[in-house]
Amino acid sequence: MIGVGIRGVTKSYGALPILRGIDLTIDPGEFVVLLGPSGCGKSTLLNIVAGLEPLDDGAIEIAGEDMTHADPSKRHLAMVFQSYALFPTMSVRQNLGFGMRINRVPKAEIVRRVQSVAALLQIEPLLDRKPAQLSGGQRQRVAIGRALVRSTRLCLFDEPLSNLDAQLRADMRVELRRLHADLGSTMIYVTHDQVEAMTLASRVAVINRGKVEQVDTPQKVYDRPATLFVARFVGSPAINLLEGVLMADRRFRSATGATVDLSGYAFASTPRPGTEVVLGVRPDDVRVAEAPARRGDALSAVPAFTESLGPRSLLWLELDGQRWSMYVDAKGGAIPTGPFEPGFDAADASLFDKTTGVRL
Amino acid sequence: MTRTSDRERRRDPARIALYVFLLASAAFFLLPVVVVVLNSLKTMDEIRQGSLLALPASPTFDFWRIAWSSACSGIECRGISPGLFNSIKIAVPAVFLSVLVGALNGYALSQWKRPAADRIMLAITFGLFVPYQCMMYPTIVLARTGGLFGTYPGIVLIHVVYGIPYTTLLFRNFYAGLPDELTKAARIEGASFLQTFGHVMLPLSVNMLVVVGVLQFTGIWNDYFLGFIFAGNENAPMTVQLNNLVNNTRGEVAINVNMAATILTALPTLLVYLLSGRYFVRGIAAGAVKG
Repeated sequence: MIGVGIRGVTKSYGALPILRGIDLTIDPGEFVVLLGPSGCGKSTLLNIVAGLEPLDDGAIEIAGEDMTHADPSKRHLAMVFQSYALFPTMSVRQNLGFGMRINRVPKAEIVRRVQSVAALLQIEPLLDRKPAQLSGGQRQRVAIGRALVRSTRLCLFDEPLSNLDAQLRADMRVELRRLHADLGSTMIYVTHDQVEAMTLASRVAVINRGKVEQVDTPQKVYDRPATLFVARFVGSPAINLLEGVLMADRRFRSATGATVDLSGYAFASTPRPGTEVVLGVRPDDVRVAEAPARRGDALSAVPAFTESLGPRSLLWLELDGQRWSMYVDAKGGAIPTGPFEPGFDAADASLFDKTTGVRL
Repeated sequence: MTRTSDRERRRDPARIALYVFLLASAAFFLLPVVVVVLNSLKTMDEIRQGSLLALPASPTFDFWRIAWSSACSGIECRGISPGLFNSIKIAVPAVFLSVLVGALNGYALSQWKRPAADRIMLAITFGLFVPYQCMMYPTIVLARTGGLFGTYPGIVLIHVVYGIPYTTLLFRNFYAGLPDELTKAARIEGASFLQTFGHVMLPLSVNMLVVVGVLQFTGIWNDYFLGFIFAGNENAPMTVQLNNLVNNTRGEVAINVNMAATILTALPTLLVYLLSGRYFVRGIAAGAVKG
C-alpha cells in the first residue's frame, strides 16, 4: 500500500500539449479512476506514472520517494494493459513468473507466488496453456495475475476491460472490486467508461484536455459536478441543461423568459446578478411539479417520446427548445401526455458560469 | 453439392487457361535445370551425339563423383569438395551474424521513436540501393588496411556488413508491427532492453528469423563476386571453385562433369528451402496478443 503524488506534470508531443499541469495525490489503498474522453491525456498520465514515457515538467512521487526519472522496474508497481500484452511464446505460468525470473528470484519462491496468485484468480487449470489458447476473459485474468504477482502494493490499469464483452466486463468489475477489498492495493485505473468509474472508484479524477476537472468520490462527481464538462461527461442519460441569466433575487431566467427559483441552491459564493449561466438537472431529479405555480413564467415541457427501461421509463421532453429527459414509473404512474410544468429541487440542481464552465 | 461445384469450377475455361499458363511458366523455368540434370548423367559421347533434352541411355553418377572429388581446376585435381567446406565455413557464421545483428538493429530502431531513428533507417536503407560493385575499390582498400583482405574473417565480415541493411530493414518492419505494449509490459517487469529482446522478441520472431536466414543463406551461398575478391585462394567458396573448374582450359570440356558440379553447388540452397518451407507460412504471433 503506497501512495502516489503527481505534481504539476506537463507533457506535449511536439507543439501539441497533452497534459497541462496535473496535480493529484493518491493515498495508500485508494482506488482512483482517471476518467475522461479519448485523447484527454489520461493514458499518457498513467504511462508517465509507470515511467514508460518521459514527462516535460513536474514530478512523480511513489511511496514518498521522488521517482520522476526512475526506471519503471524501480517504481514498485505493476501494470495491466488494454491489449493484455501477455508474452505469446510463454505459457501462463511463464508469463506470471517472467518478472521474477528476470529479477533472479529463487525458483521455490516463484512457484509459491505463482501458485497463490493463480489460486486467487482461479486460473490454476490454465497455467500450462499459451495465451493464444485462452479466451478474452481468461487472458484478462492472467494479465491481472501477472500484475499482482509483481506487486500488490500499487497497480496501474490502462483500460483493462475495454476488449471484453458487456457481460464479462460486469463480472470483471466485481472481481476487481473484490481484489481491491481483499488486497487493499493502491490502484490507478484509466477508463473512458463512466460506469466503470462509478462502480470501481473510491475517488474519480475527471480529466479533460490535459487538465483535472474534478477529483471526488463518484457520488459527489455525479451529484455536484465541479464543471460543466464533468456534468456533461458523467451520467447517462446526460444531464439536462438550460442556458439563461442569473437575476437579482436568486432566480434563473431562461432565454424565453421562463424563471426558476434558486433560493434553495447552495451557491459557492455570492452570486452576481446578470451572470450568464447554464442550469443542469439530472434526469433522476426531474418530476412533474406537484404544486404547479401556474405562473406565466413557469417552465413548460412538452412530452416527445418515452423509452421503456423495464422497471421505469425514460420520458424525453421538449423544454425551451432543449431536449430534457426524466424518469417516470412504468407501472401505475401517470405519464404526462400534454404540456406540463416540470419541477425539481433547487438543491439537487447544478449551476455553471457559462463562460468559464465553473460551478457557481 | 460442394463436390459438383468443385468439379464445375475445375472445368471453368478461365481456370484451365490459368493452369496451362502456370504449368508452362514452371516448365520454362525448370527447363535449364532439366537440361543440367539430364546431361550430368550422360557420357560425353552420348552428349555429342544426341539432343540436349534426350534422356540418358544408361544414367550414371560417375561424373558427379568426378566433379565432387577429382575434377581438375588449374593444377589441382580435387573436384569441388574443398569448396563445399569453404562455403559452409563462410555462410554459416555470416548468416548467423547478419541475421542476429539485423534483428537487434531492427528492434532497436522500431523502439526508438525519434526523427533521428527514421533518418538512420533511411541511411541504412540507402545502403540497399547502392550496387556494391560501386563500393568495391574503397572496400578493398579498407580491408587491406585492416589486414582482412583475402582472409577468412575478412570474407565473413564483408558478407555480414553487406547483409545488415537488408536484414535490419526486414526486422524493423516486423517489430514495428508488433504491439508496443509487449515491450512496455516487459519493461514494467524489470527486463532490460537486451532481456526484452532475448526473452520476448526473439522467440516471437522464429518464423521471421528463418525467412531472413534462408534469404541471407541463399544470397551468401550463391555469391561469386565477393568470394572471388575477398576470400583468397585458401577459402575460395564453392562458386569460385565451380567457375575455375568450368573455365579450365586444358583438355576437352567435360560438359557432364561441369553440369554435375553445378548441381552439387546449387544443392545446399535447394535443401535449405525445402527443409524450412513450413516456417514460411507459419504465423506464430497470430492471435496471441489481442482477443
